[in-house]
Amino acid sequence: MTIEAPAGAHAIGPFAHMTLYQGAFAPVPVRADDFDSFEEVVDALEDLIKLESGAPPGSEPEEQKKYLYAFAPHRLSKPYRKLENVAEVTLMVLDVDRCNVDTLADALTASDLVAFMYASPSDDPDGDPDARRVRVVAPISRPLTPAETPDSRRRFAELLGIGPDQGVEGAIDAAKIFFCGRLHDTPPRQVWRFHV
Amino acid sequence: MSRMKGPSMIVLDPDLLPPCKLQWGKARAPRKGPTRPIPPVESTSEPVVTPRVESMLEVLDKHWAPAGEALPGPGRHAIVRALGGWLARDARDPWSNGEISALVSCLPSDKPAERVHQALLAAKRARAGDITIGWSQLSEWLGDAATELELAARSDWWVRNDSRRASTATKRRRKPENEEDDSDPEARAFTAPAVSQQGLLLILRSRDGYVTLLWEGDERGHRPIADSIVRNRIRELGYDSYIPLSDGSRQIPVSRILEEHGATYESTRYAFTESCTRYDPSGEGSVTIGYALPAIEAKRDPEVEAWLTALAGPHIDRLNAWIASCAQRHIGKIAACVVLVGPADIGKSMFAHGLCAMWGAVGPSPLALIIERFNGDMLRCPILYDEEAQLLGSKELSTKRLRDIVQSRARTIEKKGKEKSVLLGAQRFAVGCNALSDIRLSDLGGDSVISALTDRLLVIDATSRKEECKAALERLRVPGAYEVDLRRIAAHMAWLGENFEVPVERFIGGGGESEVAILAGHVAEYVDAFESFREWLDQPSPRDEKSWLAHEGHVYVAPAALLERLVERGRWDLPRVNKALEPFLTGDTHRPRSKGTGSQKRPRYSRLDHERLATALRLVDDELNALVLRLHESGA
Repeated sequence: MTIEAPAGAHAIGPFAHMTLYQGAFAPVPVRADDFDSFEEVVDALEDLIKLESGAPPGSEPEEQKKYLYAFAPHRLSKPYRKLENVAEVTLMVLDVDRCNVDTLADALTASDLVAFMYASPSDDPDGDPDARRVRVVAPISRPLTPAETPDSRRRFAELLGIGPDQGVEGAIDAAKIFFCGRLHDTPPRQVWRFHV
Repeated sequence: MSRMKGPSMIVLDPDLLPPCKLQWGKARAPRKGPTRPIPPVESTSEPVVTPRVESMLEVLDKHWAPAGEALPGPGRHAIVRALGGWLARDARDPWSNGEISALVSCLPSDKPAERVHQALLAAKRARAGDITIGWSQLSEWLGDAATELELAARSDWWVRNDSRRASTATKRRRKPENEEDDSDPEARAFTAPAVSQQGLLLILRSRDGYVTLLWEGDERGHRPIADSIVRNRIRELGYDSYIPLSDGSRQIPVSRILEEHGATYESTRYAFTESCTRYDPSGEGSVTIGYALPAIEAKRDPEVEAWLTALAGPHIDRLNAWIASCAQRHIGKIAACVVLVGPADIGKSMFAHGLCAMWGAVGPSPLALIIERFNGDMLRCPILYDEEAQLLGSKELSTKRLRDIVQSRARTIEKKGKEKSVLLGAQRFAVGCNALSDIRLSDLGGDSVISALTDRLLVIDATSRKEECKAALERLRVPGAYEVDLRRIAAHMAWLGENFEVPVERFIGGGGESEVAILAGHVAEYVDAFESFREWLDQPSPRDEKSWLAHEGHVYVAPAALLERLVERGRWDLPRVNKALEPFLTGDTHRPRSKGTGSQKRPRYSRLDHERLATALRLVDDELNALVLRLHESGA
């Protein structure tokens, strides 16, 4: 199943592209960037993950969530987030709402895949260890079309041992966004790098 | 999968992923309606009336039809669903079921319960992401008025935070250059995620395209900006995090930025009294553009005070009150027009420039704008200056117009090729000239006109204090330069604005040597007529005796006889003679008893206000003594 790739450490081609939104309900992106390597993607994501919500301290969690940044690995044909405007998806991202991070980390390590995983803003590290909420981000060898994105995400989820009842379906289509950052008064989010 | 950098690093190849073996749910097909049944919504959500529900009702009330009547456009059913869908997933602040229920139940309908149910059902579907109806339908229904809905739908929490965010942006913009700024443009979007600007109308545009306004924070509100620099300003204010300026590799045109992020409004007003530009979405929408003044440290400066004292002489209190009235907090009050008379280099122009510096303007606008059609330059600041009495000495200004502009608290502004707008707040007029007689108005009338003008002018003749003024200005010069330190003058004037008590009077500062100035110009214009009077006082000829008469302590003139005398000296006629005498006529007449018959009858004489005449002619010494003697001999 492995193919020898040309030399070039971690190079993921010119297509890695991240679109950034502010809040779940803001359809207009605040910026969009191209990345030359997956390290750059991971560095940018780690910066975002460190940030606290822009909502005033003491706000309800749902209110705080509105003021978090969210990214999507898609490239838009028009600067408005909707499925018909998605031209391509440039990274594989999974939203996993119920999982055991150790098991998932083992699966990623064992797969030898270059990947990055982070705890979502609503993850409770002290809660049920089998109900952790994380996002998995992995570079891909070519961009995905919007039509093939859902199926590719399901296949990747299965590859990592994630099933249909673990929340992947909640962010399956190409227009979906993925929150990053943390709510006020919560510990820094955990991050895991795999071969990055 | 592609193997990268050694045997243990693989990049995912989607083409090589094994097919799914598990039973995954089908992905929702967008734009094809829900794939799972939406459970019915009980329309029993307890209505919750919040301030934004009331605001929204106020807006909708103007467009809604009474129960039993058809709602124009797509109809009640569609609009209620659109409202439910839009309010439930509104990006600015989603509404609760209770609020939607309260809103819809208050909208007149013959079946309110069903409407509430429809709205809540749409809300539920919208929250689930199954329907996207809403804004486009409402926008189509209401047109430009849909913007009002956007504003009304925001919660107080949002309004407060929008303001806070905008204020933060303003502070960031004002950060001194030498202060370390860690927000380089590239990294800025990745610094603290702040409250989104999505709910705030960052750009407003008047319907006629006359003014484009950009929100610049609480302290300034919306500020006018040229379309050509919209992109730059958005970047400078840090709004490029919210308003994309490029679409991939291409710049987004300004027209598209305005279209996507702006709203329109109907009327534009400018107000010197306001420090912040405000937008009122009610009705067709209006904007009142305020003036945020520069932060000048108000400070009493003894040397500036010495110069002003030398300039004003005995009228220093009036001048200080007038300067104080130029401060923004007093600019709504009307004030006299200041006329500074004196030779060059006593600081007449500097006086006007100091006042403008208080308003952050580089220099005053010309007073001639008040009679010109295109007067947009007036919007810079409320100070208008007439250098060397170019307007007041030109006879292009009538007393009626002068009286009107001095007492006006609003005026129309017209820029070439643009719609008219209104300027609110009194203006301040200053005139500089070399001699009292430089003031010439086109239609100087009788006593009432002169009294009215005297109230509206503050004439200060500093001719005799020339050296004191120059010496005081000398001390205000920037070391090593000829220029005066304008900042010191502005700071002292700002201090007067804060500390000097402005008297309660109709025209602040009115008085001084106004009557002399008004009449001096008039006398200079009709100099031959008044030369005849002087000759009558000095060495009267028989013909002068026929023109002028002292009777019972008053001075009289026979206009017809005076005309006979004047035609020898130039182009005179009776109307011109009457015009020359008009400011001094009291209205009384006298016809001496005839010594002969028929053609030898004495003419009718008109009485003159000899005190005003003596003032206007500035009679002194021999001439004044001669007048007193004549009046005494006439039986006073």
